[in-house]
Amino acid sequence: MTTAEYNQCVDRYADGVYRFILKNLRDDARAQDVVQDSFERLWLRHREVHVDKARAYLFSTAYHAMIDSLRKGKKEDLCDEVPMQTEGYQQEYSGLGEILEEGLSRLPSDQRAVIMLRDYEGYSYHEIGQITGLSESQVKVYIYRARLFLKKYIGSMDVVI
Amino acid sequence: MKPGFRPETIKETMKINRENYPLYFLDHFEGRLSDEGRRELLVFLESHPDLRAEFEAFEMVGLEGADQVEFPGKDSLKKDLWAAAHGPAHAETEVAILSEDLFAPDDQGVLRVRPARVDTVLIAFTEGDLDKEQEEAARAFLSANPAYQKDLELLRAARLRPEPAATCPGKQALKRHPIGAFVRRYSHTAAAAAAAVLMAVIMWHFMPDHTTPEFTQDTPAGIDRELTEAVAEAPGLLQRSARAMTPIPPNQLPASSRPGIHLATTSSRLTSLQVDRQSADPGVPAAYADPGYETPALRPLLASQMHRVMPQTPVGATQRPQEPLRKRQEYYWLAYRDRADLFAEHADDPRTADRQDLTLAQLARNELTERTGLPIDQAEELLHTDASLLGRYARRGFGSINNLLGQPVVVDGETKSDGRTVTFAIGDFFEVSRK
Repeated sequence: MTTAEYNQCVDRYADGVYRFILKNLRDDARAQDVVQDSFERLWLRHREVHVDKARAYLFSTAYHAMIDSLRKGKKEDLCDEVPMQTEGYQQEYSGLGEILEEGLSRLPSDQRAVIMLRDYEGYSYHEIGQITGLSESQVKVYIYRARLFLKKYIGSMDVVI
Repeated sequence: MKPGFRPETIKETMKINRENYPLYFLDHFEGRLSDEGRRELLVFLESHPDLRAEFEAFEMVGLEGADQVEFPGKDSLKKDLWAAAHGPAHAETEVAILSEDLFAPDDQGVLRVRPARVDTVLIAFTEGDLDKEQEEAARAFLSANPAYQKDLELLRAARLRPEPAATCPGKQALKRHPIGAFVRRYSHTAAAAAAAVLMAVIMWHFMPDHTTPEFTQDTPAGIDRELTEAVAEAPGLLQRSARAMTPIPPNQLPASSRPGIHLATTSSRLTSLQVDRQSADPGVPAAYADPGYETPALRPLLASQMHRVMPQTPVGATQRPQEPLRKRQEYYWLAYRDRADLFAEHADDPRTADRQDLTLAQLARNELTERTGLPIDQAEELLHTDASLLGRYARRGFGSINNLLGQPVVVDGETKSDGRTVTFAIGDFFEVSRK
């Protein structure tokens, strides 16, 4: 990959990687650090990484850096700890997007990551598996579980739908 | 009853209680309870009359053929590794999701959705995981069961929408600048115009130097050793250093007549460095005066960009292992901000155009103030009294140069006969010249 191609990668993928990490970490400063670190790693290997693989390389690097960051931050998945509300919502939501955001934040981190790669970036199960290091089957399982959870979550808020 | 349906059986040492009584009930009606066990059960029932009705309900389990009955959805009770690691099981286990028994042909051979797998079928439908025949079967099912339309709508609504509004701050700072291409492009017009950044002399601070005794006295011995190692790791350095040095155009040289090594460039993309030995001399504190670089407009921007990526380090201490300059990966976190871009953004500021030169002392002072938030005068005072601090922070300032170069820094050097290292070169396109 040439320097020019590397810079094109910055233009094309920096926002996507940033959104992906920001949604998962929910910490702007840490997300920016992960993005910078990922591009730094890409730069260090830019002569070896083909431009066609740069996007997957970036997301993969960012994903693993994010996992490390989560571990360091001792973040815990909230999905199983936060009971799903079924009635009497006290929160006020202005739209489906906010409810989805809330539901997304309650997913386990691995499910959240794969479904974001699926929806935001349009990756296939196989590609997500390459990025995350999960098997294709496990990716499919995570996505199905996440879909089911989000469906139930927004379904329980039928006031919106 | 098939093996495995019942998780455990009565052990000889077991005593009936409210936790395990179902096992006794089952064994009783299946005729597998010993006489002693039966007596124990009767005593238990007398003392727990509330369980009598449940006991009688178990009688049907003991009917002939009852052990042929299978629990529907048995697979859904299995736990996968994820569930074991993360807690409560979800509605669909890994086995269920991955199994291919979502559909079954009816008597006419038409594919139909298995009622127990509707959830998975609908997800697969929205994910595009079904083949054409399966999709038709799913559509037929939805037509025949409109109540599931809402489930389908919910699943479609549960897809995340990209948010293009969220952009990565500082994206431009991630870019690298093809200095090499720039240099090649303009080399035919003038070699000097290709960007002769003379730098490095930074290390000269760490070398024994009889002309600046103040610094040599204060410089830790370890830094000399470190430099020696850095030079040793750059094979062929003497060859490169022996090349004809690119002369600095006279108009690029500072007016100062003091002896020193000057770094300069004609490229507007590069922050040229003017390293003046005497300007870093503690005896000339006025040399630290920098009327423009740390302008009120620029400094907060620099600080906001640098503080985030630079861990706060106490003055006089370093958390980073001392490494030779050429190991760029050890320095990558030092600075991401391209100062040239910063200047470009503030090109309208008349002070910006004037600030293309930095002395070594200014480089160190900038790094120190940005990293610590110290007022400029205090930073200058620290650098004034601690040469090793000056060297340390000036060297960190070279992280910015790394970004400008867009390539790993290579330290090159030349050693004089008296053992004193006098020049260093950075990168393939930059050479050092000594005035």
